[in-house]
Amino acid sequence: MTDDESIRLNPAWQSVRLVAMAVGVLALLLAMAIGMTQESSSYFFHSYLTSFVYFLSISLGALFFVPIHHLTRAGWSVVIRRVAELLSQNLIPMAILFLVILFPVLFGSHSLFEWNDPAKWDVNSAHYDQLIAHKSPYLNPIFFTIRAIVYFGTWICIARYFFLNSLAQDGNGDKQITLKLQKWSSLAVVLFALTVTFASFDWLMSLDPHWFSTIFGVYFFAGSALSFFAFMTVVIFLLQRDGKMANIVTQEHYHDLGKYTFGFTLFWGYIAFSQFLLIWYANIPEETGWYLRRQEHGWATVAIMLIFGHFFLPFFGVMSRHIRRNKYILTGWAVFILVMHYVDLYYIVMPQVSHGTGVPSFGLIDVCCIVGIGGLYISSLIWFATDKPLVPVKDPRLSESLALQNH
Amino acid sequence: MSEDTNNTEPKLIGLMAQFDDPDSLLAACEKVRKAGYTKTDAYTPFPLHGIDEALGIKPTILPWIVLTLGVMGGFAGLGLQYITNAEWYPFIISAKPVWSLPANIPVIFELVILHSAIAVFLGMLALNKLPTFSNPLFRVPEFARATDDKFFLTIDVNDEKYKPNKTRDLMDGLAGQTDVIEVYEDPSPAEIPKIIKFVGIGAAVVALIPPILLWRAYYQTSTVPRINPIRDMDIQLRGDTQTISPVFADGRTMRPRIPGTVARGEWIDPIMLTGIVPDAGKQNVAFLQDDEAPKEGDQKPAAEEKPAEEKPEADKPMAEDKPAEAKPADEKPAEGKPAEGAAPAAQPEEPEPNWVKIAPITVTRATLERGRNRYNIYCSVCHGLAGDGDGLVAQRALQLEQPTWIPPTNLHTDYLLTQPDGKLYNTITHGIRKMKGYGDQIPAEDRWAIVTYVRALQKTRTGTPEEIPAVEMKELEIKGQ
Repeated sequence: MTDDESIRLNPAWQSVRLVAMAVGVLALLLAMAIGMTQESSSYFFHSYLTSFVYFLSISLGALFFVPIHHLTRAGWSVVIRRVAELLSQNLIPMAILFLVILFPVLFGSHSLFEWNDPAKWDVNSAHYDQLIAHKSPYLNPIFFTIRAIVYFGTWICIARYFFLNSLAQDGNGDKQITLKLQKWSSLAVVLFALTVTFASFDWLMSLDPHWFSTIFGVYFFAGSALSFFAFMTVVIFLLQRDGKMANIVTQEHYHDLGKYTFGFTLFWGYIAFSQFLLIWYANIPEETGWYLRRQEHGWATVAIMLIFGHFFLPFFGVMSRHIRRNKYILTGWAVFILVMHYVDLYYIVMPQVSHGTGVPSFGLIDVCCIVGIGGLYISSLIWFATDKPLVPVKDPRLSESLALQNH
Repeated sequence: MSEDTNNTEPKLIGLMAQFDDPDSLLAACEKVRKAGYTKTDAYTPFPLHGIDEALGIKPTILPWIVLTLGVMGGFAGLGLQYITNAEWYPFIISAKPVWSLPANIPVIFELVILHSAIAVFLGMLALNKLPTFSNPLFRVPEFARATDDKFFLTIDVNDEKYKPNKTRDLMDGLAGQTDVIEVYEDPSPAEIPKIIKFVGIGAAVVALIPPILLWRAYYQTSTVPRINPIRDMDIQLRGDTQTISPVFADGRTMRPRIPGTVARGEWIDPIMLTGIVPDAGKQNVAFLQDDEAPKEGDQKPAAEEKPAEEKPEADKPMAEDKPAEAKPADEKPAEGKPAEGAAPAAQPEEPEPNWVKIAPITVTRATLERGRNRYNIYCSVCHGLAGDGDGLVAQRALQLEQPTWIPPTNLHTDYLLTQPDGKLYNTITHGIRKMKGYGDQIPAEDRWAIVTYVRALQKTRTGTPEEIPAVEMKELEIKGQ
C-alpha cells in the first residue's frame, strides 16, 4: 500500500511548490520594500506579525491535534493524522520567518514592541513608563529571545518526534510505536499548553504592554485550533479533488472534522466573550484600554464583524449534520472561517499601530504579507509531503478509521 | 387470562421474521421497504449501521425540537433580564447601564443550554413513546433473544400494503429468515388494577397534606413563633433602631445625618426649600444647612446666641414686627441650635434676603385644597379658620389672660398683604416670636401650598367683584337673593 499512487502527492504539486515559493519571496520583499519607504516601519512589522501568527496558529493547531489524537487513542482520525503531522512540520519554516521579528527586537527596535524602548524603563527619561519598567524583567529583548528559542525548540521537537516515529511505523509497522507516542503525548500536551500560552503573551499581548488578560492564551489557542480544523478540511478537500485519498477519507471523516469545527467555533466565542465580559465588568483602566482602542476609529465595525462572522454565522452554519456531511459546503465554511481567523488576528494586532489612533486600512502591505508568508507556508508544506504516504499506512488503528461510521 | 371470559380470538397485530445474522436482516429490510411497506421495525442486539436507510426511517426531528427550545430559552433569558433589570428593579450596578447586554449573555447562554437539555430529554422520551409499560412483542418467547443473538423484522397489520397471505409469503421468502412468528395483541385488560388505583389516590391525597398545611399556616395567625427553615434575612447581624451600638463612640445605632449632605432622591431646589432667590450664595448655604442638617450646635460666638429654648406654641401678630423680621438667613447657621429659635428681636440691621415673590409651585385646585387642609390642621388653631387671629388657642389664652401670651397675627393686615411669598414661607418654616417653626413637620410643597391658601384667604377680603368669573357671580347673586 505504501507504493499506492493514491496516497502520494502528484508530481504536479512540485511546480506549485516552486511557484508558491517564488511568489512568497517576491511578495515578502515587496512588502518589506514598501514598509521601509514609509516614514515608520511600524505598519510593516505589525502586518507581518499578523500574517506570521496567522499561519503559525494553523501549525500550532496541528501540533495540538497530533498528541491529542494519541492521548485519547482516537481511532477515527488515523487517516487524516498524517496531514496534521505535515502541517505541524511547518513550525520549522515558521521559526525561520520569526527571525524577521526577532532580530529587530534584539537590536533594539521598538517599532513593534513598545516595551523594547529603553527610555520607557529609565526613571529620568521623559518617556518613563512605570508599568513597562515594572514589567521589564520579563519584557526585555534577551529574555524575549530566550523564550522564543524555547517555544520553537519545544514545538519543533514535539512535531519532529511524532512525525518521525509515525514515518518509522510506515516502514516497520511496529505497534509499540503507537504505545510510545501515546505515552509521550501527555507531556507534549502539557508543554504545548504552556508554550502556546506564553508565546501568545509574548507576541500578541505584549504589543500593548500595559494590558493583561490571563485568558488570552486560551483565546489564542481557541482560534488556532479552529483555524487548524478549517485548514485541514480545505487541504483534504484539495487532495481529494486531486484524486488522492479518494476512498480513504469519507463523508464520515468530514462529519467529524465538521464537529470539531463547530465545537471550536463555540469555544472561541465562549472564550472571546469570557475575556471581554470580565474586563468590561471590572472596568479597570489598564484592562479596558485595550478594548476601548478596539471600539474607536472604525474598529467597532471589525469587532461586530467578528461577533457575527467568527461566531454566529459559522455556528449556525456548521450546526446541521447535513452540512457537516457535505464536503463541498463544509469546505466553503472552512474557507470562511479561515478568513475570519485572519480578521480576528488583524483585530488583535493592528489597532496597536500608532496606538490605534489610525483607522483600519487594509492595504498592499497586508496583502503582500499574507501572500508572502502563505506562499512559503504552502511551498514548505508540499516539500514536507513529497515522497511520503499521506496516510499512516501501518498504523494499528487504520482499519478502524477506514471503517468509521458516525452515529 | 381474560380470553376465556371474553371468549374472543386475540387480535393479530403483526408478523415478525427472525434472522440469525445482521446481513440477512439488512437485506430483508431492503426488500420489505422496496415492496412498499412503511409500518415496519427492526430489532437487533446491537446498533446496526445502515439499518435506518434499509428500513427507510426518516431522520429524527429531535434536532429541530432542540433548536427551537434552545432559541426560545435564549429569548426567555433575554426577556427575563430585561423585565427584571430594566423594568421592575432598575438598579445601577458598577456604573453600568441598567440594560446592558454583555452582563446578560451568561444567563442567556445558560438558559439556552438548560432548555436544550430539557428538550433533548423530554423530546427523546416523547419521540420514543416512553414510558411504555408493555409491548405485545414481549409476549413472544423467541423475541427475548433480540437482546442476545437474534435479529427481528416486523410488519404491522395496519400497513397499507398488508395483505394476510401476500405479506406472509413475502416474509417466508426472505433470505436467511429462520422463522416467521405471528404477533398477537396483549389480551390482558388495559385498565389499571383497583388496588393500584386506591393506593395511587391515597398517595395523592397524602401528598396534598403538606402543601395544605403550609397554605393554612400562611394565612393564619399564630401565638407561637413560626418555624423558619429558610431564614432568609429575618435573623441577621445588624443594628436595630433605638438600640445601643458598640461600634460608635457615642453608642448610637441610628447615625445622625452628616451636616451639609443631601440624601439621594431628597434633593429639593434651594429656592423651593428656602424661599430665597440665590443672589447671595452664603445665605442660601446657610439656610440649606440649617434646614436639612441636624443642628449640631454650630459654634460661632454669635452675638445673638438665643437661648432658643422658648419653643413657643403660639404666635404673634406677624404684621407688627418688622424689625424682628430681619433675622432669617444669616443668623440661622450662627445660632444653629435646635430648631429655629424665635425671632431674635431687634437685631442690628440685617439685610433682608431676596425673598421669592410668588410661590415657586404650580397652583392648581388640588394645591389650594391641600393648602386649606394643611392650614386647617396646623395654622387654624391659632390664626383661626378665616385667618383673623382668633383660633381656639388664642381665644382660650385670652380667656385665661396669660401674661406672656402674644396674640397670633391677623393674616389680613396690610403689612402681610405686601410681604413676598418667600417670607411667609420662611415664617412657616422657621417660626417667629411665639410661633414655632413647622419645617420639620410640613414638607416644603405643603408649606408652599399653605402660603398659597393664605393668599387665597386674603383675597376673600381684598377681592373686587370684577375678579369673580361671570358664571360664579351669577350663582352668588342667585344665592344672595
